[in-house]
Amino acid sequence: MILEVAGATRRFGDVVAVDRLDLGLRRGEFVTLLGPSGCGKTTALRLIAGFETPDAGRIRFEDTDVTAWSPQRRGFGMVFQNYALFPHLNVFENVAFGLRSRKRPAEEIRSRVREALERVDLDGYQERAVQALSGGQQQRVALARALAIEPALLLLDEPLSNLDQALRVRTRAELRALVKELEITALFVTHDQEEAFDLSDRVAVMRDGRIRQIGTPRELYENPVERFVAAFMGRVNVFPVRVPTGRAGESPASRGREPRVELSNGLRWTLPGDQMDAYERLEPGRGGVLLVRPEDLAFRDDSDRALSGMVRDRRFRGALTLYQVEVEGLDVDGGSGRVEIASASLGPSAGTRVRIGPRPGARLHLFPSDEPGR
Amino acid sequence: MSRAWLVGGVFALLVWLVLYPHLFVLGDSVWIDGALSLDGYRRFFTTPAELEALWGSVWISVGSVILSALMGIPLAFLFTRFDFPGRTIFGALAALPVLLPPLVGVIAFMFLYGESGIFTRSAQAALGLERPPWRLVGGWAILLVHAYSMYVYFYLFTAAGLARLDASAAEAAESLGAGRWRTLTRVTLPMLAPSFLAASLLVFMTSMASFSAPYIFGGGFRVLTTQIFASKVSGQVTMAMVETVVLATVSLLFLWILSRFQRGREFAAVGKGVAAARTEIRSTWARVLIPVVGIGAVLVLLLPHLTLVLVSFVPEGAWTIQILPTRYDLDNYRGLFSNPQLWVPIWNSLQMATIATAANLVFCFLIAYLLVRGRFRGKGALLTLTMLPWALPGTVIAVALAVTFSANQPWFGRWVLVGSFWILPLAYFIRNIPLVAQAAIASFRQYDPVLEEASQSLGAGWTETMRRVAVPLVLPGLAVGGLLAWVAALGEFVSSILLYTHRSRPISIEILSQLRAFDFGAAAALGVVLAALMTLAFALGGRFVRGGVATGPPRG
Ligand SMILES: Nc1ncnc2c1ncn2[C@@H]1O[C@H](COP(=O)(O)OP(=O)(O)O)[C@@H](O)[C@H]1O
Ligand SMILES: [Mg+2]
Repeated sequence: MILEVAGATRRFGDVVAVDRLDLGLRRGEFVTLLGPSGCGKTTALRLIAGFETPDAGRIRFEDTDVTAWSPQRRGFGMVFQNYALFPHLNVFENVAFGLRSRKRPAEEIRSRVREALERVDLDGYQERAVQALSGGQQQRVALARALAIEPALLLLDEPLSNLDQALRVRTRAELRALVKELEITALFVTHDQEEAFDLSDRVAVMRDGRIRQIGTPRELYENPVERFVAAFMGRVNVFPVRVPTGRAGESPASRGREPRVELSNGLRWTLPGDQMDAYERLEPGRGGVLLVRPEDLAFRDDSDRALSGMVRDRRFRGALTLYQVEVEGLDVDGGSGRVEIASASLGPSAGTRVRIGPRPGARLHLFPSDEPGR
Repeated sequence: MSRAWLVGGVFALLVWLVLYPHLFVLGDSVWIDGALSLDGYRRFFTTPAELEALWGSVWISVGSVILSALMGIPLAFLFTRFDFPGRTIFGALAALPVLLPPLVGVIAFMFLYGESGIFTRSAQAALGLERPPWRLVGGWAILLVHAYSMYVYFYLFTAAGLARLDASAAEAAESLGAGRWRTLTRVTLPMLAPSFLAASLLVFMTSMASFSAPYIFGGGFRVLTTQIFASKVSGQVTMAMVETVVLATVSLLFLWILSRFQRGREFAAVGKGVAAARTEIRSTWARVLIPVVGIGAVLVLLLPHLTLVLVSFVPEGAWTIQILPTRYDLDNYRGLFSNPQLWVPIWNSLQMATIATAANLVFCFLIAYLLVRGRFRGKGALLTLTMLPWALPGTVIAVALAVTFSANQPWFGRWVLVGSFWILPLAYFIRNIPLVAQAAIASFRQYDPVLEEASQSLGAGWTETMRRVAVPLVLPGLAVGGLLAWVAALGEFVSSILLYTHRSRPISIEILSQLRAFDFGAAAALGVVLAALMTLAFALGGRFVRGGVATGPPRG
């Protein structure tokens, strides 16, 4: 691990902005802190950069405890959300800033600024005033400025959030290529799941100052450890369910081999084997929620396991088509109250009566319903 | 931690220079012949002359507020609400007196309306009188001089308030059937109340601290500032200290009362305001009357200053009993360069103002940095100390410095500076702390502190970040503050008269001695030089200023 954060905590008055944060970065890895606004991402980044001092916990970098080090001693490159370009300096001087601090000879400064600007496709803009640049160009100058000092660790706080959608997607691709080429270790902050998945080797999902789960994008998507993570990773149907009570006094262990849960309309679904643990933890009578991604549901005519409803909406989304199906008597938490299904093929149109159920091999996730918050 | 040192250092210097000297004043007011005694205060409150001075200060200040309001507010309405030829230029000229040092304004007034002034003699001749129709002395004279320069505060604040005022509120009232008068009294004026209060506060504090006008036009009329000067000069130390304490207390008391009034009186315009459209004048008589009244009023207000310029061209002895001087030449200006009696004070003032301002720039930059960026306890106290010299009349500050720095007690932070060159730059420095600090604070607030963090993340330490990021970004605003301070120091009179030595006398003191010698031309030329230096400074500074009128602390 090149960077290790252990139990870092930062409070502002009563607010615990970052709560016992544990995080490790391997050399050359691109890790993203992902979470909703206000969950403590910026504070976590600022703790690592050295702008905030943790109330508890340690930060180690290359096996050295840097917790008490000033930002300039740590020498991490940082790209700020609003870029923080120096308005009184031109592009060249902005990029050269860190090199001048390091008292590099003029020749070297010139060539390294040029190199950094070339990387972000801005060579030739040296003499421009930074205010005269477009948002995208400013963002690239900010990146070049951070790269020019050849930081051992690059910290980026929502650097793309101020760009418009098209530019954001393009810049994202460029950033990814650049970081991979330079083999930089980077910690990236965003509230945009798509951005996180696109860029990262690993993603840490944050909520209320804590990391709830860390893993590759695929791990998070397929095996979320809690409802919050699952919901943050993309669209998901949330069905309130309960464990069907059998005879009185039945223990969880004696419920039978087949984990089955009852939807609010009385229909029972059998869970895949990997949900056995979650199922065992659920007490009879106590509610739970079953999370199913739209692409894990399908139109099917078979049997008793299918829900019967009416297609209310059909939207073409490129590779997938997204349907909304209204099922009488079935509660669906959040959103439209309808069941969402994604399918690769163009299926029934709005107004058609359909039967839907989990597709074969579908991943269903069972969580207790009293999980704090939603 | 270098930052802790900085906080400690700034605090120490402020306490030492801004607070500490006043303790000696307080001490000396109750320490009589080696014993603690309230005798001084008893004498103050039982001597009719002293009470007269206290009362005089208060009523002059209240009167100045009223008279300035009566002049400044209508003028502001005239120039912001109506459109007529010459509006822009005369509207700007009306604000001119705020740029001039009070002493220059006072002598300009004297040349015009004084006993032997041009206007007075014209009136005397026109009426065929034996003696001048009036003598410009006493309370009314002071009041008139005050109103003549202080109306500018009301003028500027009302104009700014009107510009900010949401015209749709007035239009809404009119659409609800309110007549013009009703709209004015029920909507417009109440919404301008914050501007009026702010102007009242400034005028009140300025008149309370005023020294030049009562000193020159007071005659037998007593106010506290001149009373302190008289006591000090005649060696009544205890009484001078008591008077100083009373003046400081009264000033702080009124400041406290008036700012309590002000609090919670800010009307934030709801939504995006629509600036009031200027009314084109419709009726024929008004089309003539309004410009005539407006431009006429401005000309009358500027007449003293024009007189000053005129008199500066009058050689010695060419204006004795005539209505207008008989000869004009450049002798006085030549004298400014050839006569050491005249150019030494100019050189002194330039030197002392520059030293004081340089110190102000450095020190106030640090104060502002701590106040805006710092995280430490006692920020409120730091702000109060920083602004304290604004609330205290120059006379009070000068007396405090005079008693503190007239003894050598290094262990108590006292050295003999009185009688040396350094006491005046020190006084100017202290008096200008609030002004420059305010400019620096505003500049620090204007840029995102994340820029400083960006600098640190790139490897710059604190000092380097200050030098390469903070200083360049704060400089434009700070420079404007510094310019105002430099200009104020250049023409400073109130504390100078209590502290100067002959060798390092400033321009203002020389103006006074030229007046005493009846060399009006030389005095006027010095005044014009001051005014010219200031205009030059403002012309340069105007290139930095981005909107907003900077109003300095009260001057006497
Ligand atoms: N300097 C500060 N003072 C007080 N509260 C702060 C400060 N910085 C952050 N917070 C609080 O800490 C929490 C986390 O903020 P932040 O780290 O900015 O979240 P994010 O970057 O994920 O949006 C928020 O509740 C925020 O209000
Ligand atoms: Mg943030």
